[in-house]
Order: sequence, then C-alpha cells, then structure tokens
Amino acid sequence: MKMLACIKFVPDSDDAALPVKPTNTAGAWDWEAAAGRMNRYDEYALEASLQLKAVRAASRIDALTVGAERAQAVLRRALGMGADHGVHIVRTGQGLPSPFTIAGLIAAYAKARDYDLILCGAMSEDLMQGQVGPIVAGLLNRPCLTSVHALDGSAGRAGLRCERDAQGGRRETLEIDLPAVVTVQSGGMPPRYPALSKMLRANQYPLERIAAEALHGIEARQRVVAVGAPAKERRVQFLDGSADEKAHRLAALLRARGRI
Amino acid sequence: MAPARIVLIADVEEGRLDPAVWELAAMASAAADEADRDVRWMVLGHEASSVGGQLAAKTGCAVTVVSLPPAAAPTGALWSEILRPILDDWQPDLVGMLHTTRFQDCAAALALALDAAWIAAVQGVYRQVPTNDLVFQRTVMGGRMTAEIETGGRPAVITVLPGYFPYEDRETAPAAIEMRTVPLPASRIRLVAVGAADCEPALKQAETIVAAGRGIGSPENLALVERLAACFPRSALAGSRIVCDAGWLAPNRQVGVTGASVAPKLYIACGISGAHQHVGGMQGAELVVAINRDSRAAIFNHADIGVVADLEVFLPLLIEALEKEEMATD
Repeated sequence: MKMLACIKFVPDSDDAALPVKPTNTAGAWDWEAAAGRMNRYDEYALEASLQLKAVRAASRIDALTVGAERAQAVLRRALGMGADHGVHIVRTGQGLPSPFTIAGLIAAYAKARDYDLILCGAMSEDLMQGQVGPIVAGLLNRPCLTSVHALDGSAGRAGLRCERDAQGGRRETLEIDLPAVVTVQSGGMPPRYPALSKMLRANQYPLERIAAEALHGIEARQRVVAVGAPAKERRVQFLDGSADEKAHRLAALLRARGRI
Repeated sequence: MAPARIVLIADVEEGRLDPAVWELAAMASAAADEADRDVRWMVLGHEASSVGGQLAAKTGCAVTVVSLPPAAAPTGALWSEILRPILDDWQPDLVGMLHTTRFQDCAAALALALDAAWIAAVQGVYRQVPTNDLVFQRTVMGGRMTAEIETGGRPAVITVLPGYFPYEDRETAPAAIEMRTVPLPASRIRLVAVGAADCEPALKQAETIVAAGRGIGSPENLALVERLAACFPRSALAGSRIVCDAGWLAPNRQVGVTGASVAPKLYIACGISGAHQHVGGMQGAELVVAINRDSRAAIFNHADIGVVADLEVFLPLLIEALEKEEMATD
C-alpha cells in the first residue's frame, strides 16, 4: 500500500514569542519569530499510516510538508518516526495561506503518483479548519472521510474500515473504497516517539525538494484580509492580589452568587 | 433561474434534525442582502418530509425536500453526489451547512463543483460597506485571534460552527415545500454501523461543572480539580478533548463540539486554552470562571471572572477558602 502522510509545521502555541495580534498596520500577521513543531493531529495521521504499514505487506509511506525552509524539521521527525521518504514543497509567503493553495500543491504532487491512501490530520492546531484533506480528495476525485480515529486495513485490498465520533457523540463505523483520503482525529492511536538513533539517521536522509512554483497549483479562492482581537463574548473581571487573596475573593464571589 | 441566492442544507438523522440547524437560519439572516432576502432550505434523508415541514413553518423559508429510501445511509459521499447536480443547476451565492464530520466530508467537493470558496468553522458573517461583499469571521491560534476572510466575489460554501449564531423563534407564515426524488447514486463510502451517543449523564444534570484542560500539566493534578468539584453541590468533572484523548479522563467526560454541549449554572475552566472546539460546547453556562497561567489565553474572552494563576498553587488555596467558608456558615 502506497501512502502519503501530509504534515504541517505549526507555531508552538506555548511559545511566548507567538504574536497574537497583527504584526503590521495592514492587519497582516506572521510568526517567524516564534518556534514551530509538527502539528499534533498530523502526528496521529502519520501514526495511523505506520500502523497500516505494519499489517499491509510492501507498504511505503511518503511524508510531505508544504512550507518555508524551517518546515523541513517535521519531515526529519516523520522519518525518525518511521516514514520512508520526505517531500518538501518549499513555499515562502507570509500570513495565513488559503487551504485551496496548500491542497492544490499537494494534489499536483500526488496526481501521477498513485497513492492508495492520503492521510492528513483532522485539522491544524493553529487554524483548526480541517480543509486541506477534503480539498485534496475533491481535486483528485477520491472519496474522503474526516476525523477518523481508527483504521482497519486488514480486510483486503479494496477498502478500509474506519471509525469516528460523529456529531452528538455517536460513533460511526464506515467503509471507504481505495484510493481514498482520510483525516485523522487525535485519541485513537497515540503517536510513537522517535528514538534518538532513528532521528540521527533521519537527519542524514536526503529530502525531495520541490519549489511550489514548479507545481501546477490552483487559485486561492479565498483570502484572510485581516486578523485581529476576537470579540469578547463576556466581560471578564480579572481578580487581583496574591494567589491567596484571589482565592478568597473568588470563594466570596461564588458564595454571593449562591453557588456554594 | 436560481430558486434562491442562499441555500441552507440540513440532513435527517433517525427522523430528527440536528438541534443546531436553526443557527443556519440566523446565519442566513446576517448574510442576506437587504434588498434580496432569498433563502431556501434543502433537507435530505429518510422520511425528510416531516422535518421539511418544521423548517418551512419555523423559519418561513422555502424548502426543497430530497426524500431517500431507508437503505440510503447518510454519508457525506452520498450527500455530495445528490447535491452537486442540484446546486450546479441553482448556482447559489452562498451555501450554508453545519460544521459536522458528514458535511466536512462533502463541502470541498461541492465548493469545487460550484467554483466556490469553502470557509470552514465559520463563527461570524457580515456585509462590508460600501462594497456589500460578504466577510466571514473565524478564530485562529487557539481562539486568540479572529481572521476575516473574503472570497473576492466568488460564491462560498461555508460550514458553520454550532454555538455562534443565536436563533430566536419569530412569527412567520409557513413557506412552500417542494418534494424531489433523485436516483440513488453509487457511493464509495458505506455506513456499516452507528453506536449510541456516550455522554456522562452527570454532565447534563450538573449545576456546577469543573473542567480540566491541558494547562493542568499532568494527570496527577486532576485530583486537585476533582477536589475543587467536590466543594460544590450537584457538581461534575469534565475535560477538554486533549485531556480526554490523553486518557486522563474518560472520553464521555469531554465538553466541546465533538463531545457534550453543557449549560450549567457555573462552569470553572481550569487550564483550558479556549479554542472554539471547546468553547462551542460550554457557552450556554450561566457564570464562567476561567483559571489559567497565560493571561493571553482565549478562554478569558468567554469568562465572567478571570484568574491568572498557576493551578498547582491556586487550586489548593481556593479549595481551602471554599471549605473554610462552608464551615463558617454551618
């Protein structure tokens, strides 16, 4: 089974250097000053592909990322986790790209390469849109299942059996014909941690590098025109003082509201 | 001739509509052009005609019902095959659906067929002055910023995040219902089984919910959150998706878009960042207290009382203060 695992380099949400307001006066934003890492949902997608590889003979996993030079760190980690090959579509450009742009590049790369299964995370941690996988599926005219947390590839070559949590917490079991696209939700298959020896070997492995301009992508269709502070749904009252003073003030407020 | 500029899509699950579907009508009111408030529902599924009647009566918008045989199991792949030719014929400017797994499966295929954009997890929409172009809003970076998205005049398919477009019932004349039958297309995805929803009943009954997020740091600190919950009568312990996925709490204790939607009198969010995935499930709470080490956390936009503090230090002090006050009044 030939698989493509799509992996995003996302900002580390715990890094204090991550800007949370526009970085120029036109409302644009970039996060070059902050640290980045592998999107957690994509770790689950890669883990799902590694577990399929373990039960399907003659499997191969290509890990792919679209992003700036430093995004190649996620491919090194993917190789360390067990991917067979790393593909870096080098794309510079600031701000928040359209999912159609990213999916168009992935589909252009995947088109003539006969992948049986393309996997993406259910969403990226930074944007939480969950769009790239379904758009790749649409562009390649493949069936798509989003947010699966279990994949069973042992049934035969023709399809996969998937499980997911649908709206309202109902659990769905579905079968999807291959070739297909699935997006993987966190929870079901905890990602493995790459061993140091594998990481050292991964750092020696040559990556396939392609400039985004060399691929026939598609139009962006939509663009983020500005970022800004979110609306305050409620007017928060911050308590001040020492930790102990805050604790007593909060206890008194909850008592006054009749909550204890 | 297009029968409507805005098309809202609903589907039927076990004879019922998704309770959030009315929010699509509220979204359409915000998105509709002043001069042209032309909105039509399309509802799909087995025995969809009775829910089609509900949509027409309650919203006053025309409804097209695509009724399917019981054998047609609801999947995004099937919806995509059925909707594509109809929408291609209608050429609407805006197609609205809920941001559920099934509609996420088919939204991209519909957008590509209509040469439209697809904007996901939409939380707000308005018309820009003076261009009259639609602007869509959604949060990014764990809820810490809002992005405004435009399509440059292109039509848009949008998947709407539940919990952001409050719907109010209003008096309206019931609108017309059109019935359609369609040939059942072959589907490359088959629904094999559906398991019952698994939600901890205590979450729905609780007056106070104390919820733990990734910010609690380690599963050991869950004991502190549990002790805090025990300070309140009729209380329950809940968690964000990340905490439940990590196995720190049972999956049926998850609050959020992919878990339970709750509306207790008091919600105490401990170490929760405030991403829309979680907030969508708890905004109905009466009073929200947020405790987080990071003063920039998005949860403070959804809280009435905010405490910036280290949970390991603050929670024992709060528990002590609550227990002490309790004794003082006994």
